[in-house]
Amino acid sequence: MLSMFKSASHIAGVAVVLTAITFAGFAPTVDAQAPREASAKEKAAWATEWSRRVGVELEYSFDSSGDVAWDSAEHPLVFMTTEGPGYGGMLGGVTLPGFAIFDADTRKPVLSKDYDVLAWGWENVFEPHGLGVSPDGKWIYLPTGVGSFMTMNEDGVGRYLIINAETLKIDKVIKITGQAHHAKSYSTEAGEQRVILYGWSQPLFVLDPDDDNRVVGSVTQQDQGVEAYSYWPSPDGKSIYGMGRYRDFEMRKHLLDNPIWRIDTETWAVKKWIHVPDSAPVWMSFTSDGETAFISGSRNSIVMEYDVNEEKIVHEQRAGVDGPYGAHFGWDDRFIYTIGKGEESHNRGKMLGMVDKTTMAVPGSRAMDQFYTGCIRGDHGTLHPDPEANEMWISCNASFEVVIFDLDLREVTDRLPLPRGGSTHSGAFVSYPNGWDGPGENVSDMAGLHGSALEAKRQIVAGEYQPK
Amino acid sequence: MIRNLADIKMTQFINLNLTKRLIAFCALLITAHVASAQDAALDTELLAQGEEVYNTIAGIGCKGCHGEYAEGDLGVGPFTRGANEGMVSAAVNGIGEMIVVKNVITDEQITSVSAYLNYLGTAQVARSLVKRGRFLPEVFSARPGTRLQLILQNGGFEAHTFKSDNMGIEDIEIDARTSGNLIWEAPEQEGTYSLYCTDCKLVDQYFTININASTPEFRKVAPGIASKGTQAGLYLYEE
Repeated sequence: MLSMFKSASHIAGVAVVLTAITFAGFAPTVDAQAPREASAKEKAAWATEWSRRVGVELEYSFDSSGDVAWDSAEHPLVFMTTEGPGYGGMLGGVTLPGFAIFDADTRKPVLSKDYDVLAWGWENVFEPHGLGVSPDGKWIYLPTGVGSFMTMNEDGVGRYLIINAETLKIDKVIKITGQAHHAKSYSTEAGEQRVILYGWSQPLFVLDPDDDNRVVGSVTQQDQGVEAYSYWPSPDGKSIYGMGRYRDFEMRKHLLDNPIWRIDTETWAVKKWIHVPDSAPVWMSFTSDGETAFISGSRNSIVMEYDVNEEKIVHEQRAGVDGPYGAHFGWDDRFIYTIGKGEESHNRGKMLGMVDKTTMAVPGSRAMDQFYTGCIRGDHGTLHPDPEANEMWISCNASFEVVIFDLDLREVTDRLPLPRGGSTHSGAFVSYPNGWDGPGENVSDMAGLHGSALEAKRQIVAGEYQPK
Repeated sequence: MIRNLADIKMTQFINLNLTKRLIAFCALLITAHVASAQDAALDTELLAQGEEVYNTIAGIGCKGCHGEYAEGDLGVGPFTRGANEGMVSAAVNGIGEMIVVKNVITDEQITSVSAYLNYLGTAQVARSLVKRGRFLPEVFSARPGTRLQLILQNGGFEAHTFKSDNMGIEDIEIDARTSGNLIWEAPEQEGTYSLYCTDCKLVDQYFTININASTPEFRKVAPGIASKGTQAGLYLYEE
């Protein structure tokens, strides 16, 4: 009987939540912070030599302090992802750049938040892509901008909204030279927090969240010699790798290869260019020891194995899907899951591929398998930071959901619709073990596992893991 | 409470897994269950011997190819639940890949492992993977009176304990990254039963078993007799 009571209370609890959701309707909590253009003095104070050399400037500055917007003690582990109007999201009524926060334990939405940039005079809104979070969980970085994909390479259209995670108020608006794309975090060897930002026609710049989010490193197009599509930090924080991509789709169609390059995060100099056998490398995932990395090549639908010490591609394998975007490890550093977005091909991918890295050196070997997810235009996977969950949360641009792919069962076990039906990209798992009374921790994002989660994985791989 | 097969037989509540993975369960019948004549004749000692053979023969056990519960889920050897002595003997002697078993298995072991497999064929598998307390799947349906082999896979990195408040099951401890199983005879009446994890991260998560007469009937696997010496690859069943 006890279980019946438990079931009844469970059902009642769900009913209360659903009722609350229904009444709340996840109406956008539109931020109405009036724009206040940063003064020349403020701009000068924020600027550094690293921001100036890549054309990044402070546009607006706000006081982001105020009331706590959500209860992180009630939701000590959350998944943050973008929610925007692109890829049909506007049909759901989403017109502004924003994000949603899900409780990563219950999988229920906690909130949805957007920002009324149209009230600032923007003519339209560029779909927010890869959201990032500072290593301490204090700041959210939302890439967006004015314009569309037709105007994405125009100068000065992209913006990053830097948002206080506690109040959800905008703290700064950073104006960039191209269109904003991704944000992801890493820590230096000395434990300093860093956030990587870049876009289309906007090369890498790196912020220090502990220093008013000033730019502390950058590379120019001239430094690189070629435009980049994305950048990836090594687990030790010593290097960042750029993935080359020519702007012209027709040009890429007829290219067989491209470079990637290694940037030294002390000097911000490009130290090495490396040839890769694909004209559109996208994603880079490192083994937990940092010795090897795997890169998805979306043009040729391959996964490439990169030897970090030798600084060269040593093997390649079919990705198991057409147009792979994300390429992710689970908790074993063995199987690589490739997200079949249809990048460079059809852009309506709904599949997940599986590659066994241990067979890549075997002549004639192939990808292991592929799985149907129904996640339309799935792009980024983010590994849940609890190894017992052993699941990947995949953002689906054009089916307006996050699907949960179980890496034990190798099937989709849950689908989380975006609260307001917007498009979604990327995501980050952030833990707040002490609510707002202590620091949070970005434990898993585009750059893989971080901090305590990465340490747990290293122990698992070494066979020494002891759950806390 | 740990019981041996002889004790369990007395209650018609049979735990086939004698390994340490499944530590304990309470063999209390919830509703009356009328044992069939076949059940009454079960030789639990023979079944235990058969399980031992299944798990250990030739170093890797039959399970090394046919899967831990003979479901053929490894993609190597096929589903063998319900196989009888004729089938097992024919396979051992006629399938080339099984030479590793043929070289070491005795006639007595073929008899016992056949009894074990044949018994498994009388039970419907109800399997769930448990992660952080969440069950995948969460719900299983069966007809009243069905014999279920409940298989719980602990997906975690530490042992977890499971119990039920209305199935007569208490404190099943399953080690990290392994599975435990027990045989549960579904009552003849319709009803809803559930298991849960007592020490997992997430609470209020259940593996619910709906006993419902409208559920398609479980068809016992290979209930008939195939004669010894059946040609490998040819399976003849007699109702």
